[in-house]
Amino acid sequence: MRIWLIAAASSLALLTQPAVSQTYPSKPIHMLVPYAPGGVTDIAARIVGAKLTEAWGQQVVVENRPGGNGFIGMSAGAKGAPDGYTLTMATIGDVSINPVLFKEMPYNMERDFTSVGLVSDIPLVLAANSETPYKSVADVIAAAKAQPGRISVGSPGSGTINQIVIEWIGLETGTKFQHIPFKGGAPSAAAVAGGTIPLGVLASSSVAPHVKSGKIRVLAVTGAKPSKFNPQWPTLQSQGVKEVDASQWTLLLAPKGTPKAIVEKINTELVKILNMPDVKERFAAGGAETSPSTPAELDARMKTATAAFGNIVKRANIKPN
Amino acid sequence: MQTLDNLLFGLEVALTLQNIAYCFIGCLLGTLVGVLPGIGPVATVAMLLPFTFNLGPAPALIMLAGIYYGAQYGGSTTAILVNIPGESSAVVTTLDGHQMARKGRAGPALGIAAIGSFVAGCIATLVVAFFAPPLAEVAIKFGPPEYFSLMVFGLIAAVVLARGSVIKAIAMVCVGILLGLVGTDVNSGVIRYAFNLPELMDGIGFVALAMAFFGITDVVANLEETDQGDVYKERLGSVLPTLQDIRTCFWSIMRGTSLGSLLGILPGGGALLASFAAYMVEKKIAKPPRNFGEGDIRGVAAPESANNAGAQTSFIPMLTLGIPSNPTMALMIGALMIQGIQPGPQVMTERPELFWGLVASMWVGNLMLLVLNLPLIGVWVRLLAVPYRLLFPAIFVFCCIGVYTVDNKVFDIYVLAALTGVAYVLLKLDCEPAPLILGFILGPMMEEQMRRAMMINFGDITVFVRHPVSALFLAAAAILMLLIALPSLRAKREVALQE
Amino acid sequence: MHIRSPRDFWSGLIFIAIAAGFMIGARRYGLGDMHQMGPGLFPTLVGALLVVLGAVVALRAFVIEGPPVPRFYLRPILISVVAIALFGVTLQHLGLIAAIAVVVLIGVLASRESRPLEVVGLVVLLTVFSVAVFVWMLGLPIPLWPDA
Repeated sequence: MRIWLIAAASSLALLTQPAVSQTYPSKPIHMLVPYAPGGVTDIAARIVGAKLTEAWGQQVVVENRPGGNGFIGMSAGAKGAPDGYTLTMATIGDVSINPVLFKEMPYNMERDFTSVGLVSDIPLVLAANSETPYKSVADVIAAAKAQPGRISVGSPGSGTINQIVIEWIGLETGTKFQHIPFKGGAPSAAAVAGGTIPLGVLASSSVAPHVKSGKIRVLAVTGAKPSKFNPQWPTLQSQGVKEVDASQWTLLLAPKGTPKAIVEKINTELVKILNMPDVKERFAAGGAETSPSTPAELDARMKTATAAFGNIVKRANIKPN
Repeated sequence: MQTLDNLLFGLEVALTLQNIAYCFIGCLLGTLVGVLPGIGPVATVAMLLPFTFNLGPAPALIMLAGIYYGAQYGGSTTAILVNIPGESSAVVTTLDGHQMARKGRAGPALGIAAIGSFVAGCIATLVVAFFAPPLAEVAIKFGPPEYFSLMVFGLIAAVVLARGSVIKAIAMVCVGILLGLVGTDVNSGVIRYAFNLPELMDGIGFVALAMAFFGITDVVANLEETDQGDVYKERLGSVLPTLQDIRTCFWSIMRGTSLGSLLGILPGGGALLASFAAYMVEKKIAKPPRNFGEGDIRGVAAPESANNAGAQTSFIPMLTLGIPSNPTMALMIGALMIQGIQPGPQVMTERPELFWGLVASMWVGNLMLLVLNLPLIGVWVRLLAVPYRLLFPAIFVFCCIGVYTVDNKVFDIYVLAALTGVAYVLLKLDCEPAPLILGFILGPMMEEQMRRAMMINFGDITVFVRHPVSALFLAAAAILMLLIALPSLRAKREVALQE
Repeated sequence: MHIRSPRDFWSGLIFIAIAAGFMIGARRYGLGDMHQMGPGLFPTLVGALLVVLGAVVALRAFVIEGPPVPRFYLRPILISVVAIALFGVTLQHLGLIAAIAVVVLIGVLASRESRPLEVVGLVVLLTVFSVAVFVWMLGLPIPLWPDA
């Protein structure tokens, strides 16, 4: 009896699906951001949200639910009704680092979310204060090998992609660094620029002003491919640090069970938006490249990253608690 | 005079009809959200962010900045009227400001806050105009040891805020530090004292703490008195400060302004310290040392000036280094990035219309705020004539909504309720809240900087005295400690002799 | 021994209790060393200082004369705490309008001077004001009604 009911209900759902996606959206959409207003993720949500509002004539309300390493916003997003009216703008940290870093998680990527699409990509760089003797990646590695664990490298915080990269470089080159976490991108970049610490793994957007003023020297980008905006910076891989490939990305999620037709509809619109020249320009201003993708491409990327980071966290013995 | 030319150029930008309009909108909105307890400028700025997409960078920043410093003006209003500090800098204002209100001098308190803020704002704007590049250099050279020693100094200064026992004040600072440690530890990523609640991972909310220890417990104390009619004695009284008041406060305003301007350039908590430091200095050096804590007008003038001066000079690290001193500034950086402007040392030369336009608009804005706020004082004072039995439920409602809107978390309301209970007991036992609040704000920063300094210097503790600036702060802290300890030691000996 | 300053005595004990709580909690976090100070070190140090201060305050109460502990009036404080907590519960499930009504209707019980008719007017006034200013004007994301 119950099986029949479920079968009937799901076939009904299948029947009504096209209709649902045609009428969607018929009321305001909530876009949750697990971070405070003003950050990279928030800005991405506001740019995309404004464009979605224009396209669909329905208000897209950006709601900041900051706190707890993104846990609060992510759990709220996971609990949202799977009807396309609750979306979550997340980062690589929420989807691929926290799950391998924390033993107890208030959400589960597989169980709670379905991918809508990638939004943007910010390259990270290994940067040195200009007055230090570090002129290349080789210099840094030689110094770290001479004094393992005594070379300080700054990051915007514990458990960030930046910290993962620091440990990753150490693992790949058989050395170890002293990781110094700060509270956010700008303070860590200023600490490198002011000479408080000699090195940092930082977002390219955070170092840009200090590179211009000559206080910071970029040694390498941490992605496999050079940055679109600064193709002159070499990659870590070309400098002999194999395997390392990481950047800071932002992506859009929907609660698990959101009808496929609706996910497709949002993805189509998102891709269209991310290809608009003015949107690209807005993202570029913050140092980010827009990176439209299909839901499947995002799934694959998340899977690869989670596996790689899980391995690094284990080998470098990073533990938050 | 290059700078004067630049300022004139800035005035040209700021005085276009469009920019005056946006400046006014910003100041008006800022005053409004500042007056509503707990509703910070953050929510407002966040809401207006998409709207600024289509403005130029200069009008966008002029409007957002107006909201920010407008809220600083408005924030003192609730602190004075109903003892609710909407943000950390207003905590000090409650000490003497609210006492003045209870004595029928709410008008002069509000008036001197507005005048002090105006004077401080004007002077600090000049500081920004003339000294921004060298001050940015200072800010960038301020490393972990310097911040640590500054925090030590600030925490010892917190004891001066207390009226009663010195030992109990130090103990309350410690309680504040411990409460401040709840949440994610910056240095290790470990989550402390959160009992597996994700809501506590970022710690206890400041607004909830301040409202529990000031606003709500104050209401409860008033309700305990049988005759609530006279919460605000002698309701009438002069609406504006007298010339005599202003003369009394002149040097307090000047001292507050200098301290605020200096501390405001330090992005790691400098602006927060400004109002506390100014109050402390007044209490120690103002002559005659009348009755601080019981409604001395200089206890309002100095911190309010320091606070507004700090608010203006904190634009220096924000524009030239991209380091926000608080969440509102983080949003402004976001607004700039959307406009394609990367905050950094180049902003002044590459975007002169933005930098100088903003600096000049701060002048215009401060004038607008003065004109806007002085007539409002009459309205606020009349608000106190509302019977207390109607006023206090309204305070509850605004506190609850305010606490909720900080992060849109219902959990924070429960924190407010729980902390109210704790605060009630502590206040009954004559333990003062102001040192606790300062410990709560500065303690975690002190720990963060100390551990960072140790990590970078491999556990070499002498780094705190080897860095000259750090050593200077530590020496000042030691001297201050002696100054505080001596009178109470002497008093104790007298007590012992009498027995 | 006679407690001469009960306020100090009890506050000293409370300080010691708070400090002990944080120090016991800190044992889980690791002390580290001077180079890599663990997350447990700082709370342990501050806690230890607070224990000493608490002890001094409590013991001093036997020597120095002080005023008695003032009376605890349970009605205002309990009602205030309950009213605020219920505001949270109501806001989560029934939205802002119900929450304002709840906090005002319960809150006024804290005062003996409240008058029923005034209270109704106050609820209406505060609701209209809050909705107009917070939700419409400032656009804050506060749910007004129960989730459908």
